[in-house]
Amino acid sequence: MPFETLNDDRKPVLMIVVGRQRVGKTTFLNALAQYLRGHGASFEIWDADKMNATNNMSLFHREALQPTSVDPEDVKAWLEQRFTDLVERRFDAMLDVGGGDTPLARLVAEVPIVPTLEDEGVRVVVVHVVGPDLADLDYLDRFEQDDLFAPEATLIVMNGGLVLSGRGLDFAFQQINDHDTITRSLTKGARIVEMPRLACLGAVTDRGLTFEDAMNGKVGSDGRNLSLLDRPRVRKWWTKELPEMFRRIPAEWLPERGDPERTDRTAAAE
Amino acid sequence: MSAAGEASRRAESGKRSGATGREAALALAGRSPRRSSLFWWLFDNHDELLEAKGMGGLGFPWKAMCPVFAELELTLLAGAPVTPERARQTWWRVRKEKARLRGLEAEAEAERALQRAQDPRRNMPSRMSGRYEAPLAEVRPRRAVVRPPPHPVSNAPAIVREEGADLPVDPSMIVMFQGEPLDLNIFLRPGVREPWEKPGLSAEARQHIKLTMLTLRFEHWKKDRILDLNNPVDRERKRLNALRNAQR
Repeated sequence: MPFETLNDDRKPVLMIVVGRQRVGKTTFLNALAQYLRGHGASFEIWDADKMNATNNMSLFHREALQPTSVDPEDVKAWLEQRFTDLVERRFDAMLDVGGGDTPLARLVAEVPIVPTLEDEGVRVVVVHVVGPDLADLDYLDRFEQDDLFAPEATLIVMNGGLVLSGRGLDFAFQQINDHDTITRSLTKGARIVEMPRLACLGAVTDRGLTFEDAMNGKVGSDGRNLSLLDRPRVRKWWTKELPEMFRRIPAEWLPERGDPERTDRTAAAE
Repeated sequence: MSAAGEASRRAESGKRSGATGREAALALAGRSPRRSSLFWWLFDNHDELLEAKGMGGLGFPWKAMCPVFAELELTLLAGAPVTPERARQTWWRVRKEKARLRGLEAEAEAERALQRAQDPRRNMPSRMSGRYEAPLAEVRPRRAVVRPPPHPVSNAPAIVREEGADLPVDPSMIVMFQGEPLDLNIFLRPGVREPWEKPGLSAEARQHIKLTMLTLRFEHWKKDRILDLNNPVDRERKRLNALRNAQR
């Protein structure tokens, strides 16, 4: 999808998702991107997660930009190009860097990315996706130290899908919520939202379906559609639970929605 | 309805009917000239706007709404045209004002409930409505005494503000659940040091952390309670409702 240059009165948003491997970073970003696109938003998607071949942003968003090489130094250079492009042309973007020792983490250790981009009038939004394990806070803790990578616009997404079935959410996330790292982040203005669980998430993504297509019974890459009960499961999650979560995110932290008519049509359909 | 809400209603009604004289003066009385016409329009249409926003998902498309405001001749103070950013700011001022008024109403209701509970004649037949065929009681009704509610059991959540207590209500801590206001303080954990009670935090940080944490617990509870409707929070809600009904 072609992107639009923003008006002068609004800061371009660069949303970067970070966290441990397998905590749901791509799931969150993919769902948010589909939702915002469905509501008329225009933004670029940068997929630097070259290690994840089965579940990455490029599978669901064919226009996503990717580095041509997996070499960390090449990816770093590619990221620098993207940042420069965003500063010059002023548009919104989402970046999926994957987990583990990423080229972004190396870049952050070298250069004060956040202050540099913010000085150029870019709103950097860092999204930490965490599960109920204390180790999931490691990235947040590391990036918060010395303000290494800690913009005011820090969003912590607690992934309810990582809580074992049958376990209470409140109990599962209690040790995370009480942790000093979370308190410190909130003190600096971070927000917390909880991503609701979708029991059949794998059945949707494995078929390469969008959530809207999945709930409408479209056939996936394996030639099959979702089962009878999975379709209403996706519908409830996609049309009710996820929008509730997105509403809790400050609007200025998200790519701007465009065509209001499209927004109204989608809302009416929902 | 609060005084401001009533004034707002009168003003809106007056505008629609083209009222003049006394009605127009009453309508104007509740409209501070320090507020813009955009503010009062958002104030009057607050509930409908929230409903529309709920359908649309994320925030309002302020940019698209600005031409509509211009058509309605709505402006900022001193007639300045509405910009998306200023519309957003004005909307949050409206939300704040609405929350303040809701808080005042809740306080007034609490005060009324306390007065009712302390009224020694509240159980007298003359105060009762309906038909009572039984003979009048021969004993004088006992003087009503407002006792503090029983302390919550150890694993039950605490509620800081009881109906009828004269503690101030924090409107930001009130959420709607199943069509009724719910005080988030019901999710406090007695005997546990809460994250916002850690030393060295500013008042603003404490408020932000408390609101965030209690809202999360509220969200978790909404999902967790489906499998356990007899959970401590629901038990506490039932107890408070019973207390409230008894006071009525």
